[in-house]
This record gives sequence, C-alpha cells and structure tokens, in this order.
Amino acid sequence: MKVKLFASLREGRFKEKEWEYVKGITVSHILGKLNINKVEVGALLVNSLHVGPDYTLQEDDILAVFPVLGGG
Amino acid sequence: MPDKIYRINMTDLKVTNEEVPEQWKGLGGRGLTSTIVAQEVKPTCHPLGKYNKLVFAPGLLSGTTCANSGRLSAGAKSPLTGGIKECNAGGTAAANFARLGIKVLIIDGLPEKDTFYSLKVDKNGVTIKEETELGGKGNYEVVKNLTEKLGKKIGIISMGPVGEMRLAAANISVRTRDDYIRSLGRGGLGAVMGSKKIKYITIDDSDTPGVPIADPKKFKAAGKIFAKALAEHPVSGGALKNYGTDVLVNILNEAGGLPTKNFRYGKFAGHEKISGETMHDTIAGRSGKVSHGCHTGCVIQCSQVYNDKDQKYMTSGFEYETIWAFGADCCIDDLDVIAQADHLMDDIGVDSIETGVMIGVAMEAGIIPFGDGQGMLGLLKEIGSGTPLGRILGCGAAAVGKAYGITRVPVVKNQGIPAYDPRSVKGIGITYATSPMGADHTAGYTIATNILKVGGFVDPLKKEGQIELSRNLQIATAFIDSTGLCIFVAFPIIDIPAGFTAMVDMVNARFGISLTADDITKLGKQILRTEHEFNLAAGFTNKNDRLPEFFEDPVLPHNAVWDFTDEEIDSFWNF
Repeated sequence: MKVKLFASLREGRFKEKEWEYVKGITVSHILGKLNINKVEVGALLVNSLHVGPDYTLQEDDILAVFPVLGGG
Repeated sequence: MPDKIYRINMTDLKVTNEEVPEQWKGLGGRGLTSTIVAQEVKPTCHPLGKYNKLVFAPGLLSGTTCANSGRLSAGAKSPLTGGIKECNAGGTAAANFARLGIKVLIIDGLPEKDTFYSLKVDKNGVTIKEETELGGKGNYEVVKNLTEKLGKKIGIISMGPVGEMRLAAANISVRTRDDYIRSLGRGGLGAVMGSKKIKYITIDDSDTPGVPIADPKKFKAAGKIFAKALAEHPVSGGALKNYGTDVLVNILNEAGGLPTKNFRYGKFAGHEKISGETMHDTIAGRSGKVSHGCHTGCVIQCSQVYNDKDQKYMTSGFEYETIWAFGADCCIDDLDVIAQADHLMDDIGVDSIETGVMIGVAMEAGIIPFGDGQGMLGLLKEIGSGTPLGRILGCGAAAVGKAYGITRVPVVKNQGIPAYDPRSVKGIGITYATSPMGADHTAGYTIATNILKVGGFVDPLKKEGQIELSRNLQIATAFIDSTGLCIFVAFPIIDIPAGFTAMVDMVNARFGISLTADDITKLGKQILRTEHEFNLAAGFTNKNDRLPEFFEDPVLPHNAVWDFTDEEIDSFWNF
C-alpha cells in the first residue's frame, strides 16, 4: 500500500511512502496517524477514484491525499 | 458625475460620448459587453470587418475598495469562433476606467489609412493619435516605452505583432501595476484590435474624484465581510497564494483527467516536474515571488514572479492551463522551457491556451515531435515573425488541424479545449459543449465540484447531475464576470453564505439599488441567453454544441468515454 501527499500536506511529512497494510484499515485511520486534520483535507483518491474518509483500503491501494485546493 | 459611454469611430477618427441609457445602467463587465455586441454588431459580419465592434468595460465593482474587483472585460464577435466573445483579465485598466467614470469604451469602424493609432484616455476624454514608433514591437517593449514616457501609474492595453497580423489566436495585453502583463486571452480579440489598427490605449486616471458610492457606510461594512470570507477560505486564503493555479497538475493527474499527448491519455509521467509544488520550490530557490497580485486590492495573490536560473525575470501569471498545454499535452516536462514560451507569447501577443493546444495538434501533425521543447519555441518565434507557417499556427488549433488534415483536434466552436479531459471530468465537457464562448473552462468551472470537492461533489465519471451543475455555474459565472470580480471569489462565496450576501450588498450600495439573489440568477440567465441568441443569429445551431468525435474513444486510466446524447446536451438550454 502506498500513501501520497500533496501541496501543504507535504510540509513536515513526505511526498510518497509505502504503508504497512493492516486488514480493515481506513483512510481516516491513516489521516489520524499522519496528524492531518479532516478540515484540511479536500479530495481523497484511491487508485484515481474519489473516496470518503471511511473507505476501507486494500493491500495494493494507492491513497492520494490533497488539501483543499482551487485554481483554474 | 454620472458614468459615460465613449464611442471611438475608427473610420472617421472621431470620438463622442453619451449618457448611459437606462437599460445598461445595471450592467457592467461581461453583462455590458455582451449586451452591446448583441444589440449593435451584425451577427453575420466579418469579425475583422467594419461592422464588428471592440468593447471594453470595467465591472460593476471596479475601481472601488472591494477586494479582487480589478477584472476588465472585452467583447466582440470572435475571429476564432465566429460567435460572441467576452474575455476578462486583471491588471490596472478596469480600475483606471472606472475612476474616470467610463462605463464602457466602444470602438467601431475601420481606418482607411495604413498606419497604427493610439488612444489616450484621461480626465479630458479620449484622443486618437497616429502611432509611428511602436508598430511591430512586442508588448513588453510597448509597456516599457510608455511607462518611461508617461509614468508608472499609467494603465495600458496593447496588442503585439500577432494582433497586428490579425491572426485568430491573437490576444490583448493589460499592464499590471509592476509592468507585468495580463491577457484578455481567448477568442482572438487581439486580431479585432489589429483590424482597427489600435496599437495601444493609455489610461491616465489622475485628478479624478474616484468612484462614487451611493451608500458608503453599507458598502464599507459589506466590503469587510467579503474580504474576511476571502481571507478565511482555504482556497482563496491559502492554497492559491502558495502554489498558484498550477497546484492543479497533480490532482488532475491523480484523477486521470490531465489530458496528455494531445488528449491521448489522462495521466502524464512528468507531472511532478511541472507541478505547482515544484514551481513553488523553484521560485523560492531563485529569489522570485511565490505570490503576487495582478491588481491593487487582490488578496488572493494566485500569481507569481518566476525567475530563470540566473534569478532574472522570466514570467508572471504563469497559469495551470498554460503549463498543462505545453507540459502534459505536448509532453514537455521542463518548467523553464514552458516559462520561456509564456514570456514569448505575452510579448508577441497570443493566447497561451489556444497556442498550447495548437502546438499539441502541430506535434500530432508531425511538424515537430512530441516533447520537443526547443522545436516548440522555434514555432512560437515563427508566429511572432509571421512566416507562412507561423501565420497558420497563429490561427489556432482548428486551423492547424485543417491545414494538416488530421482528426484529433480538440476544439469546440474552433476554440481549443483546455486542461481537463471531458471524458473523465464530465461536467466540464458540458461547459465546453454549451458555452457560447466555445471551449472555455472558466465559463462554468465544474472542476470545483467534480474534482476539488468545493461546493459539494458530483462524481466526475458519471453523467448524473452534470448538466444541472454546468448550467448553475454558467449562470452564476455570467453574473460574477459582470461585477469585475475575479472568478476565484467563487470558491469562498460557494462555501460561505455571508460572503455571497456581502457581494450583492456591495453592488447595491455602489449604485443605490436593491438586487436580490433571484435578480442575480435572472441577470446571469439573461446574459447567457443574449450570447446564445447572438450565436444562433450568426449561423450556429445546436449541432455546434458538440465535442469532437475522437472523444468517443476511451481514455485511460478509467477507459472513460464522452457519452452524452445530443438530446441531453441540448437540454442545457432548458431554463
């Protein structure tokens, strides 16, 4: 399992990291471990699809966590 | 002193002014330019001919103390699309016009003599002069020359050599307070300025009393609430300031919606190298400015000053769409090369979205290979110097596709499709298809809801809810484009209701009127319908509201296809 962070969430953390898979692990659990406050989070994507914080991850999943972003 | 309309007739070289008629009083920016173009321009006219008019209008809140109110609108019949066009840009000109009490500048006719002209706008009115020195010069030299002569407070609107050649991708430049350039980019309005032979317009707002406010107390109170909403929202108050709009590269790549190699794939291997995160670190490491405002009163500061390796200025207002076009779409994973292209395009005066999409098509056609950064810069120079190939390239993606007989040409109504794949971000596809402007992401920015989860969430890969989403955003955007406000205020006012109310209160306090939220929706709908009706009268039908057929082919990683029926797309106009 892999976790990728973007923009301000990289500060003091990392860009990309292998994550030890534990059966039943949720996105929320990982955010907690990384000390990322839910209000900071904009989009969560697993394998290029949007998911919610309660999503249960699988062993080969790639989780991407983005802060609230804008642009255009 | 009530606001005035100035009419500049380039056939007779005469200027007149008149009072604002009652029906135009509540309009500004896009609402005003589109209303005037629809009322006064023959829809079937040649965009470069005597019947077209070039209209400049500040927004309803321009020139006031309201945060982020510095957008200037320009309108005309577009040489690129053949339909109505409005584009807006930052810089100082909108505030300059508003302080002079100029509601709108309407330029019509064509001069007989083969010479360039300038317009001097100040407290005494508008003066037309022959311009013998700056013809053929790039926008940076025009700005430098004029600020040396006229001082650092002058507002400048100018066109580059590509506008002089009247090519369909030519844009119009607007000076920022620090001599950088913002662009009235899309739809070839620089070619309309070129047809009227106006090299530049200077605007001097010294010795003017400022913009009158009907209810100053109410205006000030609402202005505070509005600025607070902008500062508190994480997008307008933080993300845009730190990473610019280019922060979108990585999220669009992750979602599989980053068009790559002329819209073949949805992800780009070199995404990290051209991302907002990399741009931030590059700028910081070269003593540039990570954040920068394009006009006084901008609190969002999405712009930046990007320096080269020797810490010398390269470009500013370096946007996601430009970086996507030359980066992922052309497979060039080098920000410095793309920054060089951005500088060059500002100087010669071409739209950086149209030109980037066009280069992708030129690569498809085999003129240069994908990924060839130096070859790309060479083609841009050909456009600026007007070689026969350069003139074809300077007419945009559709013209190059036709000249080289290829079918993978991403355009709607002849305008290049920007930085979001409509198959994997379906809401934006509805905006591309239906906007009277041609393919324009800003017209109804569904990315907020489809990808960024601002203002709710509508699944980007499903058809459900996209038409309604695009319609609601296009209606709201038509109003915001009329206020002179930057479209990025939409992020906070979608999420913070008090910010929205404050925006309406400021418009009411400025003019002593009492618009409601319903009135705003009505006005947005009216603007869209007016633009749509102009296009129908110009010869468009519902069949022009379609995406190119290659979008029926699936795109990775989701194998997404464009699968809206004609009836579904046409239902957009049911309002």
